[in-house]
Amino acid sequence: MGKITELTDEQRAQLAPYAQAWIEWVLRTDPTTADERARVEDGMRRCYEAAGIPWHGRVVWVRSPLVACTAEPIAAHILQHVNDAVRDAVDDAVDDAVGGAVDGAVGDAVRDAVRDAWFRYMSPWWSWDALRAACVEIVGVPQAQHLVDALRDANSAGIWWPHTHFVIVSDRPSVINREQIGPSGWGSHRLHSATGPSIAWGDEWALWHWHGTPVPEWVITNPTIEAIQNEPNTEIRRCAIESFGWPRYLDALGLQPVDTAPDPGNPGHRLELYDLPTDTQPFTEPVRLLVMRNASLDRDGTRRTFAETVPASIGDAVSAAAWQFDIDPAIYRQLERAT
Amino acid sequence: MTSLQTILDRHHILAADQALADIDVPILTGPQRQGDVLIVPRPPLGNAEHTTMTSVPATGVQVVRGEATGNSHILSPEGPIYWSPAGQRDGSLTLGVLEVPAGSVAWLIHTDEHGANGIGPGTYRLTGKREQADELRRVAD
Repeated sequence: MGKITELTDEQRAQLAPYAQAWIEWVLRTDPTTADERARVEDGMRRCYEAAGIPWHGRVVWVRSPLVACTAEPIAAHILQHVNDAVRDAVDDAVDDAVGGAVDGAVGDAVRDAVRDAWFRYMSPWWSWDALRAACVEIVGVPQAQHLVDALRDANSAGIWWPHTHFVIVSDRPSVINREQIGPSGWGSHRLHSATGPSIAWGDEWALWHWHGTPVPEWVITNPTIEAIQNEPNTEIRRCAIESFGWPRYLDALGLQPVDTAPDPGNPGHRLELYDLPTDTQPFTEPVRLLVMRNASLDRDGTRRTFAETVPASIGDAVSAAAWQFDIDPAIYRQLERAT
Repeated sequence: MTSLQTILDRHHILAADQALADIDVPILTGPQRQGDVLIVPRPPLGNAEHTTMTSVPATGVQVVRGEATGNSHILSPEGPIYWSPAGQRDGSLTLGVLEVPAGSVAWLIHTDEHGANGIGPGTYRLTGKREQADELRRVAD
């Protein structure tokens, strides 16, 4: 069979929903059932068989990748036979089948379509699996369906480590929290939760992220002035201050604004410009903080107070607000209404 | 006069603050702000520039692309209005140019807390907001 050199419109139309289905599959957080576990283990057996390695039938399920990472080298050391050949061999076989049958341009088109719908934080391993599955199931690369099926079944719980005499496999996470930061596509989501872990595996292990930045648990659950002052990493400190709230933080430090002014268009509310002590500067560039109050109430009936950073060279509060919109402060003062 | 409720209903948006839903939204021709979007009067476009403008459909047009929280600022027409989105040039905060002919109103609606702003006849520049980090970064609510 010759190389596949172009996609039909029908095939192209299938790519986005196909990628979406993979994404939903990867983001599952429900516990694995007994049936699912049996299917996972059978997928592993088929991977071993495809790789030509005898199936040992010993599968150790653990609750989280942390436990797997701890248990795996110990078990491997005891057994003295570490062997990652299984997944490698199956990977190679699928690559050969797909690579031999798909022209570069088609491969690129499929990869882009799958990648565009993917998530930044997810392992490239997943998008690679999805790409190869798309080549087989949509583009129609022959003689690799059984490999794609075996890998998909084996991968359908959490990450797994195959060895000559045993497999360790982790459960799926029980929690995944993300936020959308752009139009759907590559990099459109990042891990974030202001109230709990971004990813958790039961009660066993959790990861914490503030708008995509990995942070220690205290940043989310218990940010305090003391912890913030003692944090040597400026990135984590900035996240902790944002989590604590800039207005609260300024208040706690007992700082007085260098300038305040009525907020144009927002009657009854003031703009406040603060200087930050050197040891609390969040960036390399020196900044001042402009504290503002929303002109409209939030859905929960509260009025949000927030702070944004402006160049430290700005002397007054209205000029700081005008700088944020890159406009003459004289025009900003004429704002008739803010909502 | 047009109440916030009437404007939101056209786009099936639930008012964030019911107390304000029945209040009339003023139609203004001076500078206004809606959260992180500024509306500033500017001189009318020349004929050549004018040809790049497109008529805003009744379903409205989103003025900020790819907003962080999924909340959107939407321009909604009452009578013909014209919009020309800015190219995505690095460093420019301009979102686009709006033209509201005599007799028309442009409603700028926020899908969450910021309600609506009425924009009367004239030509306007809509501008986004930035803050100073290690690089300048765009603010979007």
